[in-house]
Amino acid sequence: MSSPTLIFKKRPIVYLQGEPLLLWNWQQEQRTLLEILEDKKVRIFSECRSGFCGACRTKIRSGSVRYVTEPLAALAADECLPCCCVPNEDLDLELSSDGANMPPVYQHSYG
Amino acid sequence: MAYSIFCQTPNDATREPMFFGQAVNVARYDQQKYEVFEKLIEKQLSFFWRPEEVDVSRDKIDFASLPEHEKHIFLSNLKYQTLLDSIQGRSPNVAFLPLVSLPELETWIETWSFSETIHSRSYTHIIRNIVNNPSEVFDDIVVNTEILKRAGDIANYYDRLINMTQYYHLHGEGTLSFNGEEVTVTLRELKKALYLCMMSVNALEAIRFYVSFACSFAFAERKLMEGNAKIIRLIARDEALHLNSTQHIINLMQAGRDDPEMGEITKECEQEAYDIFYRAAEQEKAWAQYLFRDGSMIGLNEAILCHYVEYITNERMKSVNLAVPYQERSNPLPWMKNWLESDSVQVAPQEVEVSSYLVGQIDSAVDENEFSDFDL
Repeated sequence: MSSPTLIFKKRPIVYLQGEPLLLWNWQQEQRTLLEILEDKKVRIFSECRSGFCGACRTKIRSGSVRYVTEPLAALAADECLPCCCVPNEDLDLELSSDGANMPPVYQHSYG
Repeated sequence: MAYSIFCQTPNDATREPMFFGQAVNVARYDQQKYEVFEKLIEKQLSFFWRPEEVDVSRDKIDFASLPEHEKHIFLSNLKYQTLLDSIQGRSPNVAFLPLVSLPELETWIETWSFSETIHSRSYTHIIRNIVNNPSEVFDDIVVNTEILKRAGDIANYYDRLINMTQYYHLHGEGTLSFNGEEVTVTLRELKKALYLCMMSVNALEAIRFYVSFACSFAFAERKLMEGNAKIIRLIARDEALHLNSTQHIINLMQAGRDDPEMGEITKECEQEAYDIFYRAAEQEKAWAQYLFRDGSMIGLNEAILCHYVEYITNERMKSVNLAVPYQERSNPLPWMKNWLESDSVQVAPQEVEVSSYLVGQIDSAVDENEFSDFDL
């Protein structure tokens, strides 16, 4: 039996239109991207939450996702279904940050 | 151009377009042009359910205690849904099967239509349970002007496609007079009729159904008519799959790789497609007004329901690459999500009537590591 090769993988950062939203946590692995986005009060539409209705279809600006269950809905190359995937690397989504719980921005003062 | 149920010319179905190629001869699924239709079939089969599995006896008591205006809301929705599924239970078969040229798509259409007949059966199950004389409900469907207004618009696109297909199969392309009317049939016009019909079906499954769903779930949020809500939940799950399939078909048509002429037609018809959705949404808003004419129900009124129609219309139109007609807003009925969610957890099915209990599902994936502590 071959031993698994250990590859260091940086925890992905999820962005909304370029603004950082969160650092993906390993404890979140069991949960889908959609659930995490909802926790952060990101406005996103969803229905079946199992990958077959396509309601949560979201555009990816950069990055990629890994599917936990295979999606059935029609997807363009730059789209993902958050209800059945997790981020694979840093991920920038075409979603508005309006109303979302964005992390506080610290003002650094020098001098 | 006569249609044959088994065309004897050998062909490679993977080189045919979705529609208007050589009619399907051998129903074979070992090679597929679009695997997604096979997956849709499998999903739909795994969803199989029967209305009798859901106990609706409690609903009779609930229904009797509803005030008159809520009875009107409940029954009107059931009538409207009965109409929608009466159409959907036969029309994909009648309209699309004579035109389809891929075996997997042909079977998907049949599977899709069949599941709609289950929905029709479930309305009888519900209605028989809550009223003493089901005929009073069913007979009203074809005389109720509010319902007929919508039926005309839905059936029109189907009827036009079916009529043109019949002319085409009988006479081929050309102009002919029928019942004193001049009809010009060309393959291009026929493709256009198919595209618009597909758009109208998508609007039906993506918007029209959801007004009734919202009302059914609003009753259940108050712990009323819960048996009905369980059935509607199963229907909603099927409809989500169906609307996904028509979105797939529309997206493939629009991309133009499947049939370049169809790709051109989709661009020409953008405004007409937009109008189909817009008209459907406005009709549903008028329907909401009819539902609540004698009063609102707790948790739902005409204004909220109209906002919901506008909200989902925008979402659905984005999915088929159309401009959105209404102002963007947040979801006015956030609790709908809980009812539309096809729960991924399988609870012991003998304990509750879970809508997610899948029939015929086996996960045979075994990781090599499972045998790591296994010695012979």
